[in-house]
Amino acid sequence: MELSLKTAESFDEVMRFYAPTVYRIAFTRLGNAADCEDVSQDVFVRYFKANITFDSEEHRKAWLIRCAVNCANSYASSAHNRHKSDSEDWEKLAESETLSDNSTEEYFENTERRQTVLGAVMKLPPKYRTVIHLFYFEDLPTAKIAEIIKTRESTVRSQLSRAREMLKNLLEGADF
Amino acid sequence: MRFEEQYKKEINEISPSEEQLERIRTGVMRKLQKKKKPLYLRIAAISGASAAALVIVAAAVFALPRGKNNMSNLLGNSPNNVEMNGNAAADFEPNGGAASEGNNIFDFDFGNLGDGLSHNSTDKSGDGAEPDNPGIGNSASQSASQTADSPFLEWLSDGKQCTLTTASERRFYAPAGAAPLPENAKLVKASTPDGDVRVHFDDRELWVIFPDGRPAEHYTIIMIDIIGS
Repeated sequence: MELSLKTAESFDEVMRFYAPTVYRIAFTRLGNAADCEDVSQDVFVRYFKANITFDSEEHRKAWLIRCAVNCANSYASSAHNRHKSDSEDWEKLAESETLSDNSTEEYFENTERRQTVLGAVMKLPPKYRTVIHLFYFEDLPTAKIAEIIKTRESTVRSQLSRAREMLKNLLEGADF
Repeated sequence: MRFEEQYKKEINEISPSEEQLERIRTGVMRKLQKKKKPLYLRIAAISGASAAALVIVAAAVFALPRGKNNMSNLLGNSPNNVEMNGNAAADFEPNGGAASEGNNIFDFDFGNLGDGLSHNSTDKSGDGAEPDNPGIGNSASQSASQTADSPFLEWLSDGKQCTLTTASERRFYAPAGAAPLPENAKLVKASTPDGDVRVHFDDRELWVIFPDGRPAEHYTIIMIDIIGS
């Protein structure tokens, strides 16, 4: 898709195209639909106000991902989250999104799988979840991930390694 | 199935719906259209609040009765007027001792600074009218305006349910001395006839925000169920 690289142009199209990316990054951090929407709004407000002309589409995507990670982290550490109900929200969110579409059998199968892989990932510490998501879903190399979360590449590799170990314990027989 | 494939499959299912996308878009547009008050207005608001607070303190100090138990004596200006004997403590008791007879230094009267809850200066209703409802306050000094009838106080003591009236973004502060929110209090449900709302709170304050930034009517009712200790 050809979109203008200026933030003030093609804003609607950019928002529509990248909203799922931003939403999912927020979700891996917060696990709650309402908070994901809030974070998504903040990210795109910042995007528009940044008034940047990007070098390339990759540059724009990296900018949005970095912004989403930072906004989600800020949101998670804000005062009100200390008193939020426990994050079983992500299970309800996932269930509500599929219940109307799937047959009962598929629903239970999906739920069970979700409680396996996604559930295991959501049990990881937040910084590991972010790294796992950016590596396995966004297919970003470790160098890029390090640039986004502002850390060293060696740190990203060791976080990935530890995350995989934890996931192997949680998911018996997981094949990486 | 490999972890990567399975994870991608499941995360792909976590995607904003059309309705959510529209809400995000609307919220972004509203936030971009929101204008900050000019600096001079913000300074005026802060100055006005500070001036009002100074006037209140000055009025309280100058309204003090002259006599052996007034503030100047306490500050040591006239030490000979203070009886340093076994009854000294009683002299300063708000409700006891000879000093309490008609000249109690704790009998401050702040007057009617507004009923119910306080709120910040972002009144989005636009008409500037004072709502005729005990739930909305309009005071320059937020802590002074809360009364014993505040639903927020009720909530803090009860920890069960709270009914608030609000519009757009409002902050409600626990008054000095009020018990903080119990450690294990959790927000269970927040609902309003006007639509979705976010309620955020910590130990000392609570704030209600409409996610798309739209102003609510004066008397939007928020019902909040909270599991207390």
